Amino acid sequence: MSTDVTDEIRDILRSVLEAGPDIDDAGMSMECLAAWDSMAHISIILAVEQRFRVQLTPEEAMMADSLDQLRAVVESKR
Amino acid sequence: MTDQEFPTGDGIDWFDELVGTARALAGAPDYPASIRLGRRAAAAPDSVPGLRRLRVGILSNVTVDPWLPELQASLLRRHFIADFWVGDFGVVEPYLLGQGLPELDLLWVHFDGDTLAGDARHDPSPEIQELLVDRLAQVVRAAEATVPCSVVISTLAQGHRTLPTPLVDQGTAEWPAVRARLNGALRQEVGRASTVHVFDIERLVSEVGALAALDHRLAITSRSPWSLGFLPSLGDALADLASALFSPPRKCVVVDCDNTLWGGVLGEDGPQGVALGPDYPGSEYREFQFFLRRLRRSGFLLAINSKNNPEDVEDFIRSSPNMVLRPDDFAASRVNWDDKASNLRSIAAELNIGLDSIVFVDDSPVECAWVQRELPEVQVEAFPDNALGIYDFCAQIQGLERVSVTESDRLRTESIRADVHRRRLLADAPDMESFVRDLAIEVRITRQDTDDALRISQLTQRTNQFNLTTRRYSADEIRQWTQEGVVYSMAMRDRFSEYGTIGVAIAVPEQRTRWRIDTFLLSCRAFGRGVEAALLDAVLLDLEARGVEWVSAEWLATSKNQMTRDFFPSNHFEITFEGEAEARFGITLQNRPRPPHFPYEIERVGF
Repeated sequence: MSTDVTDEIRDILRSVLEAGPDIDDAGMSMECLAAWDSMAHISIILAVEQRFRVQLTPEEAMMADSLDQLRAVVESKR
Repeated sequence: MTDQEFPTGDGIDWFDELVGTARALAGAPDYPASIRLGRRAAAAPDSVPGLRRLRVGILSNVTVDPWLPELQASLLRRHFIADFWVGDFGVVEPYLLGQGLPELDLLWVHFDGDTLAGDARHDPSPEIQELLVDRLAQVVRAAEATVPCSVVISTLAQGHRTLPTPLVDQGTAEWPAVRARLNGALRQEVGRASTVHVFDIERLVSEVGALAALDHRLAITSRSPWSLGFLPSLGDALADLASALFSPPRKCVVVDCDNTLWGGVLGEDGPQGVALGPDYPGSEYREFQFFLRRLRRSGFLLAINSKNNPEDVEDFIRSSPNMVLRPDDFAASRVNWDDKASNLRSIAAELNIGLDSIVFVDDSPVECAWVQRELPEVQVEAFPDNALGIYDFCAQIQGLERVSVTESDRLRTESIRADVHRRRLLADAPDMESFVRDLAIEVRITRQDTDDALRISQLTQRTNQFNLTTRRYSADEIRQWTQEGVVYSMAMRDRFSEYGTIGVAIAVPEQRTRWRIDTFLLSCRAFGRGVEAALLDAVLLDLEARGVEWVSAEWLATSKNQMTRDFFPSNHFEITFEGEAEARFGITLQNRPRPPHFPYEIERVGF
């Protein structure tokens, strides 16, 4: 299941951030990607919530600033 | 009409791709797919056959960016493609009163009511109410007088901050009642304008349901009040408005008779046997007739196109006590055994209207398909095959939207712009200074407020737009700066709300008489009021008092802070270096030109 979740979150991030295949999973973070700004972050959280039918608290949403963190928070809720 | 092929030069059928994707999304919401669609739409050529390009501007006191992909999808479904322009967060009046609006086809002014009233909504005194009524009225007047495109302004909807209260009468002094009065005042003001229209977001929210439409959490973290699930409804409503304003208007509704104006077949069931009357299912056909009558009263022509014996139909319409519509209501009638496409051609000829201004309603899928094939310009609407579906049919039928404006109004508007009428409107519209004065803004500028280091640090972390250098500092680093330089912070309040700390400047010495402004920022909540000039003036006054002679400053480009590029030069700094991504400035403090006065109270603390 973890791979599926990762795959889907990666797809969401690629859609929202226009990130090409050259960016690996470790590079999928707010810190590494200039396109991942506060506005993109809102879109990412909304998309993740819609896809996995979960609700993140404001604190969780703030922390979830990388592919890894997003996966962790989604899995903690499933 | 929509199924026509539009070959394009680059081998991509943009119409099919964009509209097809948008239609698919209507049935299966998928936000990332909407975002991709928005990006594809932005990459489309200027002219896509079948799509009308619309430059849509949005001014709001909430964050609208997350809405744009869904708005685009809705507009594409109605064969518009939008170029969106969004004003700076929270800034409305300055755009309406001065320069800064790009060329647009449609400007949407959206106030979130709870945000507009601020803290005052907990205690909306008569004075506050009057101020808010004035403010809305002035926005409408300014839009009418100065904005050269159609403007829609939202009604104030129930917001995320409308506290849950028991469902008893809350009294006329409570915020929900005040909000309703503000909406009434807004409608009245819009009623006097000709290019400004109401966008009834309040009704939309109550139709969808406030619980479903609002996302409290998103509102408080991102200042965007709507839930993701509400955005398609919002987009569709905007697309309806765009359609009413920009699509060539439909003029005539042509209806079948049997199983459309009434239930059953008149020729077989007889006048007593058809369903039309106070009880179900006849009640639903009667409602449909009332619906048509309302369209007629709003200016549509009605016509009949039916396969029947003409005498039967004529008698029934004239004499049935249950009929709502009468022979006079129909501008043309074709009751015969000819094919319905030929009848429509002859109706169009008789009424002297184009086939593209006709909406044809028939319950028979065969007739619908035939007409659509023969006459692709006609808007064909398949009437539901059971009475229960009539209500939804009426609610969803498109192309019948009318805003309260006619073609002659539109023409009149053009001439209004050129003549003295406009000067009168402009005289009524407030100027920027009186707008600021009416807000009764007070700013408090504090020097070296180490107690507030955390909030100051947060502002450096979060502020992206009005931030000259976008340097991010921790609270410890802020405290460090108070040792090595001077940290100024600015708090603001107005008649409505306390905003807390909204501005930061950090000045550091390079030499004894030469200092540098390391950081200068303003929170988006304080945009559009000119208070940044007061902060800069206070900093420069203070430095001058400390014996500083020359102050340098810089602008470091980010993807968000283009708005600040001219900030220092427009405040009399000279440009010492100018590049694409960076510029440097400097000012000699002695005898520098100072702003004449500020239309707000300034308190200085710790100077």
